[in-house]
Amino acid sequence: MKKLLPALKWENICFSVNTGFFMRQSKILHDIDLELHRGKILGLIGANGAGKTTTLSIGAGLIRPYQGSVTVHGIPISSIKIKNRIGYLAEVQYPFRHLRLVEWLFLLGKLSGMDKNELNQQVEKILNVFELEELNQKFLNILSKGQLQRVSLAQTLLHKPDILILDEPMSGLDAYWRRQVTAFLKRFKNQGGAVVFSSHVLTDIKEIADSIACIEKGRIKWISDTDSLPDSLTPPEEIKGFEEILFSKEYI
Amino acid sequence: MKNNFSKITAISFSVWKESVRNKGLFTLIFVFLLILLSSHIISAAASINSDRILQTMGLFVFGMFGILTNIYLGTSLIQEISEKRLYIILVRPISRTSLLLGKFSGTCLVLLSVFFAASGVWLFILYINQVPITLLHFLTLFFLLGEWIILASASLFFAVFTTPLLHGLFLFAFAFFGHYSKDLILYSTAHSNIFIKKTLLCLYYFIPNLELINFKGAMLYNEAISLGNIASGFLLVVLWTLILFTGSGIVFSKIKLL
Repeated sequence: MKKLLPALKWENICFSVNTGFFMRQSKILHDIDLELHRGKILGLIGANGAGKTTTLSIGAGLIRPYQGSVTVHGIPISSIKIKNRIGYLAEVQYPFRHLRLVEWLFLLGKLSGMDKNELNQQVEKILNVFELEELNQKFLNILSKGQLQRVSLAQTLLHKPDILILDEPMSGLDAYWRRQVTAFLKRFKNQGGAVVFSSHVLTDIKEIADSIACIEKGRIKWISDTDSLPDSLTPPEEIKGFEEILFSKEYI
Repeated sequence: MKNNFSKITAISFSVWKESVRNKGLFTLIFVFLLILLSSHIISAAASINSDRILQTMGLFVFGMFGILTNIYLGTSLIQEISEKRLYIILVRPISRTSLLLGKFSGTCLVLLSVFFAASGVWLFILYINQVPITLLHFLTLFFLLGEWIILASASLFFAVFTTPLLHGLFLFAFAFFGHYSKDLILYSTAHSNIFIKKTLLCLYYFIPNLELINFKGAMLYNEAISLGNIASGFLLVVLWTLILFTGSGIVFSKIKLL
């Protein structure tokens, strides 16, 4: 039987940036190997600056690694044709602050190559699903963080992708929308979609993901199924030196 | 091809909408128009050559505002790159060159809008001051717009790899040396140091001679402009816009957007 190719595959990815006056090379990612399969959700965890966002950006084809490759259903990510199969949620959600919500969605739909009728219908549905109808004529720069996050989630689904790459999808959402997004991602997965997302909230990852990859200092520390998480994930009971940086005891 | 064109126009109109809804640009236009109107008052106070003062001041303001508007619009692209705000667009099936083309054509649309509004005001001021408006006025304005377009492509080129401050400085230097580029040749021949000689010569070749599209003198003194001069001016605008845009495209396709 023919083996299905991974929906998204990071193969031996190394990435570096040049920093400082002498533009010294600083390695951010080392030999990242990850596979995301259809009907699966992969969660990325790691401390701030561990390399989660960079891994996701490379997976979305936004930045090029100096070594290794990313493929989408076996096709290199550099191919423009494959980009419509990816829905990407970024940390910063919009470049045009003075566009109306509906104008922004129409722009992204046009960039995805959707025709007018299809786009009209899809925008209407998306606005309805994310309860954004009342905000559709509002300018993006006046929306709250949570509303923007919903807009951002809406744009990831606008062109009907089968792979979602989500950087902190729960960020800024209230309890109701966290539940809604959790339910939605599970449904997306059950219909054969593939999702990779990063989060700092372990409960989110445990609830949504099928497997978890921990990134530490630009390397994959471990990959595990959600059911068999290692003990190292329990938080430390005390933080050394924390009391020394607190306010003066005289105030108490 | 058709699909790509619709993507470019979509970005272009978004850039235009974004700019015309921006209060910052309106403040700039307001100051622009205010200075244009003040030329009316200053020329009225002059005892002689009030017509020339009116026209010279107006055209100087046009030149300055070409630089300032381009600095303002270019800075927004730098911010979009540095704050990773372009990610959400670049993740779609659009090449970086098409994105840049959309940005450039959008910037040109904004410049056209500002230019036509300001030209209307300026020509109206000339009209109420009973300055005879000739074809030379329109030709001068047309090539001033050409200079704005060259500056827009230079602004795009600097914007893809510099900081806002450097972008402003480079663009200002570009416009300044562009108007004095012939002097660079003069200094080059006069200098004995071979290094300075070659540097000045290089600078001459790397910066367009903007005086070739400056017909202010001809307009003020009502001198005829040859067809050859018009053609070479037009060619200069087209070629330098293409060169600078291609340069921006090459740099933007190579840079890491992290």
